[in-house]
Amino acid sequence: MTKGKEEIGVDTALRSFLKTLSIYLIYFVITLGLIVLIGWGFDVEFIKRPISGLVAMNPLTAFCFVLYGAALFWQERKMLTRTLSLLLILISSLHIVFYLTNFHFQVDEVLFNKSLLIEGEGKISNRMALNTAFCFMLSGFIVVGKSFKLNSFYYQILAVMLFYFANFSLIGYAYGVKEFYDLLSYFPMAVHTAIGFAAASLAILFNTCNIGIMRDVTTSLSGGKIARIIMPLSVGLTFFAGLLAEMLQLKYRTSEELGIALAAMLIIVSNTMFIWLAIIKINKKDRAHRIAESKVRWTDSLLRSSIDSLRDISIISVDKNLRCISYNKSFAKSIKGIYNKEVDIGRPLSEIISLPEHYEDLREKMSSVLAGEVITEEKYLKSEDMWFELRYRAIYDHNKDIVGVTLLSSNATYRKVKEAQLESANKELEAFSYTVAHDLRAPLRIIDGYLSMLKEDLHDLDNESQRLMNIISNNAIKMGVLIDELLNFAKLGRRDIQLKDIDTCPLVEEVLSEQISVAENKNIDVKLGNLENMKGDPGLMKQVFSNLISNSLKYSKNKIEIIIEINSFRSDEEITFCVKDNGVGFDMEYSGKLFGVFQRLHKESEFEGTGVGLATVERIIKKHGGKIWAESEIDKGTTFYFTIPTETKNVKQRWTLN
Amino acid sequence: MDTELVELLLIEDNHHEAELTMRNLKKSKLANNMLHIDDGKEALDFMFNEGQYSYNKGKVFNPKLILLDLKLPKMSGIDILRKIKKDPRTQNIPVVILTSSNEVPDIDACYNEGANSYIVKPVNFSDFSKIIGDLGMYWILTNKHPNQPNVQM
Repeated sequence: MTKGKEEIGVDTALRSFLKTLSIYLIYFVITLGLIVLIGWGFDVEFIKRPISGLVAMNPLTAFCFVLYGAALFWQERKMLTRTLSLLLILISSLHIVFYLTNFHFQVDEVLFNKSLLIEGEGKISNRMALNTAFCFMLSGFIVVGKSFKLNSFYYQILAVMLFYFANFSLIGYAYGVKEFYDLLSYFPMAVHTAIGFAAASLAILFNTCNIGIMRDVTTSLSGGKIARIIMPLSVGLTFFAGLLAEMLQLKYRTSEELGIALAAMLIIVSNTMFIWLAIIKINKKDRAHRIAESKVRWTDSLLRSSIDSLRDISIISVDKNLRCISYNKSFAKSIKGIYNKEVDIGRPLSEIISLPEHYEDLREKMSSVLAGEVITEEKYLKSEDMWFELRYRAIYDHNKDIVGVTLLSSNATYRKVKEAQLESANKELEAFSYTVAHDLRAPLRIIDGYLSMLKEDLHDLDNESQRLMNIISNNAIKMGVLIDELLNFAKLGRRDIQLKDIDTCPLVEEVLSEQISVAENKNIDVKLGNLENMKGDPGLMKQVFSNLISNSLKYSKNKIEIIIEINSFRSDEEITFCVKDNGVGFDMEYSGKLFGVFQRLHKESEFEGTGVGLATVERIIKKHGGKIWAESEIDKGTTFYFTIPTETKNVKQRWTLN
Repeated sequence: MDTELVELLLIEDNHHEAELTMRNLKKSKLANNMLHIDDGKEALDFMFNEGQYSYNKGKVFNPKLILLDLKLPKMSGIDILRKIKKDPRTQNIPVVILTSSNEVPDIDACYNEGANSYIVKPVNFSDFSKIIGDLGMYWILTNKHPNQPNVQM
């Protein structure tokens, strides 16, 4: 496992349990040594020799256990643990050398000389056995190796060897191996010594359960699970097979060969069973894994082919170090065309984008995106005479951390050309409407002016002549009004609305005071309901109310009493306003024509008007993201409804260029 | 015409429009010392006694009001306004913009260049008469006129 990467399938609970267990095992080893030493001090036979007639634990052995336990216990204090373990190696190797050279200076005799001499008179040697000394040497090397942070494999293997040695002695005692009793008197270790070594070796293995050969055993992966079940089972069953053979021989006097055959058979059966079990379990996992893998491959190729099929969008993804992790064909093709470079997975972006100024710009943008920004920009590439729209987006891992950037680049030339055309068309339109405003009004003013001059100069005009002249004059004036309204309406289409908080009530009151002062019928009853405040363009919203209210007044002018009601209702998404009158109304059959420019539902002679007012209102409401409609009944009155969204998000914002 | 005598200068290219304006001024008895020039360049020559008006050299142009149209051939109203307001000899003369344009950019530009007033001519003649009458009354009779600049032309 490389540093920084997460290990897959860690059984944290198991590992922390094993680590705790290893500490108790260290305590156990130390306690064992101390108790035996006390046993020697006070000459307690049971402590020295739990099974009578067998070897006792040598006091030096006990001392060495304490030494070993202490060395492990103070692992963090490097000097101390190294000194203790080197001492352990020294004692045990001296012991072995003396043993082999038959030199008669025994280290253990230094400690309990008298007791040992007494013991020595018996049949069984109580010296530290050769294999015990060897085991301590191993233990010493293990602790030194661990302390010097050697590859854990080496000292873990030594620990496993230690465990096997201990087990050999334990099995020997369990099976009553007679060599342990007399022949190889220098060979056996005492039963509690063997237990001590077993504990000592397990302490090391459990302590280092997250590394080396122990790592796989303690994972939650299938291998780890199987190992944890099969290892103890296999050890136990094999041990039991031997024990069975032994018992058969002892109790039923069967031949030794039968016992061995039976044991071998049992071991064969159990091992094959275990292997089968393991195979079934591993294959099951493997199958699931392969299905998942093929699914991933399928998804991958699907994604691959879909991003490759995007001919007009170039895509590249890079990691945090700006190395390519994915790209599509279109990207490779454009890079080949622009920079004459090959794209490849793992290649740094600096090698792909070979122009330094382009790379520098890209690097800057990408580091902003890695810091959490979202960037969309348009770039003109002179060499290709093309516009590109570049979208930089962060790539997130399962922890929602940013791990890279995806850059999507598309050709925006066509759109840019169209935008430029649109802009020039808009400019032309503006110039046109300016000319209309200025030049179309002048002749009208001259018509009306000269006509008026004529009227002033000719004093005795007959009624008919006056009527005709008035018609000319009125129509000239009307056309002036029409031009104004039409210009106003046209401008609305281009104007961006300025959203502000509007206090509706004062706005409506202002409109009412203006409108009522010019109304023909002065018998007007206005009923204002609860007017909700809104977000909108104050100038335009004033025009909406102004047009609707003047409309209501106009179409109610023939009533004896005009009743106008203005009200509003708020829902979660929008505010609905309504303006109601008791005027002539209109036929709902023609309601579709209500908001069309120059569309009128009444004769000019009945109610004058240009047919631009309601079209203007509709355009303003739509610009705010709302809608407008009317309900009417002939001779009863009309109600106009319109909505304004409460949230500004509903209003379409013009897409602005950087 | 003698530069010093002009009380009101009307700069307007459309003669019919000019006639309407002048008629209304006459009605208010304000047209005595009025001059109409239909060309921007000529109007500037007149003010500064240049070109065809160089015979007026030494005479001071100090009218009570300049009425200026915006849409003029060759030199636009805005250009003329800028020249008037930049020149120390004429910058104190009240300039009223009299135009058909109701466009916000025009209005803003004129005030930025130092226009004293901006009036949109209505189509309706009776409204127009009233506006011209009021305007003449105000600027020529009511308004306190700046002192005569002691600048020799």
